[in-house]
Amino acid sequence: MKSAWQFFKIHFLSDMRNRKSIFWAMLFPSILLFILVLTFSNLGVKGSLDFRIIIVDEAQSVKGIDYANSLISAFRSLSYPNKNGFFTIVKVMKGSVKDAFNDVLYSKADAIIEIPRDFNKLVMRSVLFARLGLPFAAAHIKVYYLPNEASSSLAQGAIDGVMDEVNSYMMSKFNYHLKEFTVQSETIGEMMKAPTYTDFVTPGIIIIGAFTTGLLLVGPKLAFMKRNMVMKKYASTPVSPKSFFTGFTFSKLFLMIIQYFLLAILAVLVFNSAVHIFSPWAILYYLFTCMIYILIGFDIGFLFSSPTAVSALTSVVNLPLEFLAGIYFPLFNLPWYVNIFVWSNPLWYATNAMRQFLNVGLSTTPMWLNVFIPALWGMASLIFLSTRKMWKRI
Amino acid sequence: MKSGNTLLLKSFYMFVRDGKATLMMFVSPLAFMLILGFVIAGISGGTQNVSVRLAFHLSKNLQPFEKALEQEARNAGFSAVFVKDEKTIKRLVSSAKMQMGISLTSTSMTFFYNQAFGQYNNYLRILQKFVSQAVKKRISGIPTYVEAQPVKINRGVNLTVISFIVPGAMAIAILTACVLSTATAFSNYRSNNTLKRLKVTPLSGNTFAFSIAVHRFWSSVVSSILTILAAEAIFSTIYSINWLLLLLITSTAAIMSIGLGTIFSVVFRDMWTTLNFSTILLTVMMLFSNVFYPFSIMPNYMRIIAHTMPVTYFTQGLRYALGISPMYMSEFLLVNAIFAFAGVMLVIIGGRIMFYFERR
Repeated sequence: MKSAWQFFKIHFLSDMRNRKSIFWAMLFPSILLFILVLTFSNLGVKGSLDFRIIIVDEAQSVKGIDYANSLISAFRSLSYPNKNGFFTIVKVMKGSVKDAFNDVLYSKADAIIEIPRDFNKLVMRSVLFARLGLPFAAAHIKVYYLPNEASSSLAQGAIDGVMDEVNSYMMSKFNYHLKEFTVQSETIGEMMKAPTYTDFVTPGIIIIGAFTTGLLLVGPKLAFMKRNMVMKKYASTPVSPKSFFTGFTFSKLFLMIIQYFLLAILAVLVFNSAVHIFSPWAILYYLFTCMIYILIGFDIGFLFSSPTAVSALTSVVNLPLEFLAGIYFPLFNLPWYVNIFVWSNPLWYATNAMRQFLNVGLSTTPMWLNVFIPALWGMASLIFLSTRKMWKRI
Repeated sequence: MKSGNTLLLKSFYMFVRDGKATLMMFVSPLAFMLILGFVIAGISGGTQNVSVRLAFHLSKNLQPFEKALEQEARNAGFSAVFVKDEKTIKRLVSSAKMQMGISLTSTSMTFFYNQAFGQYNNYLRILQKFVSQAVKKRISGIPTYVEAQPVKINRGVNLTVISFIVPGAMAIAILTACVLSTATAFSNYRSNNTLKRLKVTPLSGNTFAFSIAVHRFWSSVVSSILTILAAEAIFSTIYSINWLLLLLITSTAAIMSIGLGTIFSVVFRDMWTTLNFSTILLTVMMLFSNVFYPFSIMPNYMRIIAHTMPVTYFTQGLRYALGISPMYMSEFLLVNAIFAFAGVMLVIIGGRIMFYFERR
């Protein structure tokens, strides 16, 4: 017991003194959280979509009637600075549409809406035919865009998407009464009101932090100790392997607990996250996953003898597992052969579980699976370690 | 000259025998592009512009319109599945089998979201606006007096999400491979004291740095081509490739990345710090640039930051060479000239400084 405590102190203090350990355990996940929140928290929120549109009005009024003006007003009602805006109308111009092509070709605008010369005549005819109950063809406005340019393609899609609203707007101006129709929404698994991207990503970052610590502070360190014969030196002393492994494991676990609170407090105090950092279930589940990651770290440490090889392997393993865990974005529509990696990825289950325990949203996987799959990884790691005769190697 | 050739040949053998270096140069860009491709294409609907899986429930009086709705949903890029009740919608959405649920009656419409999808729901709420307006208009019996007719300004290929992502992923993968591979090589030579030994020979720092850089250069160009071809085969991306421009931008960006790797290994003395700094910098570059999303959906501060990142110009140049982004030719050539000049200068300066520091 005493020697286990000594090992715990030595390894914990050595990690706290080592700038590489501090970097991977504390700085890296904090920086990652900072970058992700800064990058993604504004994407997709109202006001972040802004396409630049040019309207070319070529329409000629028919006996003083100008439907084109109503159309332009409809587009204006859907553009900034109105609160439901999707785009900015860069300019409304008369003349030829060709004059505006260069603006789209060289990214000064994303799309051009052309109101053709006979627009008023066609709308007038359509309205008349509609009143008489006769079939009619709609008047067309042309949306010029670049099919191979992302902003331009999106702008064309957005204009297409608002055409129903444009028609409704124009009709409301002609005293056409829209039917009462209520639109409501319901959020399934709502645990907190309006979670932000920080709330979404914090559980994942906490898991990544623990996983990186497990991989990079356990595997390479064991490989380093093996390479420098530290293990052999321990073996010549009366300390038992059990003391070493207990002390070593708990030193990493303690570091991970510090890491948990550091990241959670950073998310709550700096980024105003509303995650429940003191949730007992979250802490218990976190400790459980930490043990699994430490075991995986042991596997890697015993699989290779060179610390550089261990570092390289952990980097290679880390990236795919992170991206296939739904930490940064939710995962949808993946082909079955990629899904196999997702379904067997312990980080995916851990992220789902932590989101639920930290009160962000219900786990998309059943909770028993969130425990069972990581536990399987833990069992597999233990079996692997027993085949490597870990106890005898020390 | 002779020593340079010998060194080049020796570096070549060392490079091809070094499993980690070849893995980093050839396999990691491909793996990176595949993972990002699948994950991001999955969110956005594979090779379609928009594809959201919808669970739809219609009230009894609207059920005759099921076929028409399904057709309209398909045309709009949705994949609609009709279910018998709201309970089933909730089950499908909560298990992430469907991204959104809609329950429709003749007087109301309810949209179902899963809170676990986080920020992604914001995009779905934009779709909610389009869908609810379309339904409201039809239910109110408003005729369609005005329709939008899309007209392509040029005959370029149709851009899909995955074809937009591939050049970005490729740029970041090549940049990462070149920076890390160069930085690792130099740091390794320093930690093995190889540089100290070379210092006592007549070999100049420039020649040595050049011999390391050359093999990273050609391998990154080959790797880029392989990655593009693999993306075309796996994701069915279609590009209108200008091979000359593609080779030019890949080459100059590789030179610039190698220059950056050289400088990082000079500034940070040990390999760990070099790798850590490179990882952080590349993560920042990846997230604060136009690699994953166009400028039009970035907030203003991000657009400013993005324009200070070399990877933004690399990605833009790649997209231009692949025929999916407009750019002035003069701007493209200027970017290439700056990349090439900066890269060569960084390798020369880095090589000299590296040897200078080994004098003790």
